Amino acid sequence: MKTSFASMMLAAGVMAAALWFAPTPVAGQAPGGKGGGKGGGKGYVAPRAVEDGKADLQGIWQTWNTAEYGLEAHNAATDIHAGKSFIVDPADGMIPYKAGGRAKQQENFNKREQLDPINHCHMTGVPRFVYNGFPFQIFQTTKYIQMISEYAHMVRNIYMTRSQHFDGVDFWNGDSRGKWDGDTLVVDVGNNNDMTWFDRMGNHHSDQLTVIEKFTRTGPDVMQYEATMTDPMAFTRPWTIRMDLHRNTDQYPTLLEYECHSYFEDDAIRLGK
Amino acid sequence: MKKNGFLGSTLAVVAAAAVAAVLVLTPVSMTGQDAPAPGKGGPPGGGKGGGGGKGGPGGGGGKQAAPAGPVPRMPDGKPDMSGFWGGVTPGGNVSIEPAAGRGGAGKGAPGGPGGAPGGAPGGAPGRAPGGPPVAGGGAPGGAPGGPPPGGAAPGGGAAPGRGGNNVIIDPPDGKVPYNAKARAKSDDLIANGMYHEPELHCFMSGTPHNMWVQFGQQTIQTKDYVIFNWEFMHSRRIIPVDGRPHQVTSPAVKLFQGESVGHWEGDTLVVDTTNQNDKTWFDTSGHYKPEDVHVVERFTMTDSNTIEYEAEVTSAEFTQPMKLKARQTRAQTNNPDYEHMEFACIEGNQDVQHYTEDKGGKAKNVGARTQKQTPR
Repeated sequence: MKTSFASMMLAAGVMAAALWFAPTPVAGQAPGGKGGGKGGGKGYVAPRAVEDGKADLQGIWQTWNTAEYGLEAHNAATDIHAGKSFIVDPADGMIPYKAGGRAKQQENFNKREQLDPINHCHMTGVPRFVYNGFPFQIFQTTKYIQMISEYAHMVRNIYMTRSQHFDGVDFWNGDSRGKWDGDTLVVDVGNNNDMTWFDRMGNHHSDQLTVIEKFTRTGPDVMQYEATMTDPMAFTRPWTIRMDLHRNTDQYPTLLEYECHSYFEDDAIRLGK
Repeated sequence: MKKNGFLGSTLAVVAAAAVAAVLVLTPVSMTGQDAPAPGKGGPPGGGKGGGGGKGGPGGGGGKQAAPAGPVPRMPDGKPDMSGFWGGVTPGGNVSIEPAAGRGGAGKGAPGGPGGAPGGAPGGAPGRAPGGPPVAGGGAPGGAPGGPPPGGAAPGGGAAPGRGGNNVIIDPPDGKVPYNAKARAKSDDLIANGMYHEPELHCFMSGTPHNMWVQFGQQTIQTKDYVIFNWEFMHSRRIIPVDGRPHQVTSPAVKLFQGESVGHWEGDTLVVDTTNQNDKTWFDTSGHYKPEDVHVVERFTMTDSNTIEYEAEVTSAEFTQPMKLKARQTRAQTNNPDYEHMEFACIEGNQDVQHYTEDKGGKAKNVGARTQKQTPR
């Protein structure tokens, strides 16, 4: 693995910590994050969006957990923090790979330095976009809900006006079509390619992957994120993750940049290569 | 075709961009959903490629179906700039300066967003290559226009709407008012440093360069933010208009797009941008952007389809302020359901490997050359 990557994540963490106006408790470690942030819980009603009265999801959000390292329970390793499982279904907290899938994950893990797409600064794909550790900002209009990540200026346009996916085109971050279920934003992500991973453990999928995401504000500064992965090529059944996202409560929330590949050249200078 | 032609064919843009280019180049009523499904093998994506000029989607040259109406308004009465726009015209994607000897040929990007790379997922790893690069009149590819070596691009023909004017209106000669040292640095980049052309590296283009990139711009506007998204390189600018003060970060924070803060003066959106880094240029021809630039842009919507664009750029490396004036025209007025697609760049970029020593660098040489040119 690029030596820069550990320090990158460290720097990101430091930056995130610096951005945090009020430190939030570490939540989302356990499966089924309960929206346990301040003021959260059942009965919380999200503020309304100006335009259409839908739940207002806007703000800069970020996970504060170990999902980027591994969605399943796992031990620590180089550049990997140990973590519990975020998989709430199936009950064993494991990804229900079809035959051969687990071996491929193991191989990916062993070769993660070379093979992890983020070590090439590639787009993360969904759902990794949400929990890769970098903040992302949500902008909301009646036609679009847009998510812009600090990582490699990734952009997701979630179209709210048409539910039909593009036909026959694969995208790194998929094709997102959203709808409201009460105050929950439900996003249908299709058109995924097979070149992204779920985490640094090398968990993988095919281009038959579809993801159904659910974003629900459970408190002023907490949003519950749930994603269900279906991929008949890769998995024996759908599986679901759940975790909390935390809102940047800085007085002037500002999404900065992590222009990943540009730093390779900085490294070349620094290391005299 | 000049050497820069291969930039387009090798800039490995995934299928998305190819399809997008098809949509862009086909000003008929074709929405993303209605578009023929490109199979994974890739259709002849850029079959129509190669037209001269830099016309982005409606970038001054697009067909206008709907006549312009009054300025649309947000709920709070501010002008509503949301929607799809062409890049500002005249722009400066190939060169912000008028090139000697080009006469009235305009500054059209060679090939513009011409032939897409064969409708294929380009150099995306693990994918079968699609159709062959399109042989068109221009650069085959949804490329960043391609840096013309030495800035001596032959031009792809008159760019629609340019009328031979320059985006720089002051100084009157249309040139960046570099001081002598800065001009020498720019000249050296043009002669020896084109490897460092930022878009070759899939960097966001910086401010104001991003205002005239290809493939069009999508503006999203909320009460507190104006967001510019470009399909090209999925670059974005986030402009808060929430009343925050300038530079809420720190002078130490350097960003590709800089730190912008906006406010409304009547119907004019005024955007003040500082904190840019030194890795982007004004164009793709070596007119570098000093790190200390202070950019003040004014966006004035005059009807539903028109935004008048003015900018003033100041720098200690200039002999005077540089003033820009251009116009932005609404795009995709025929296509109410138009949607941007995903433009992957770094995911398959092979341009840097193809750059040779005579163009100012080699991939393996990047460290030494960069160190020489931008010591830090």
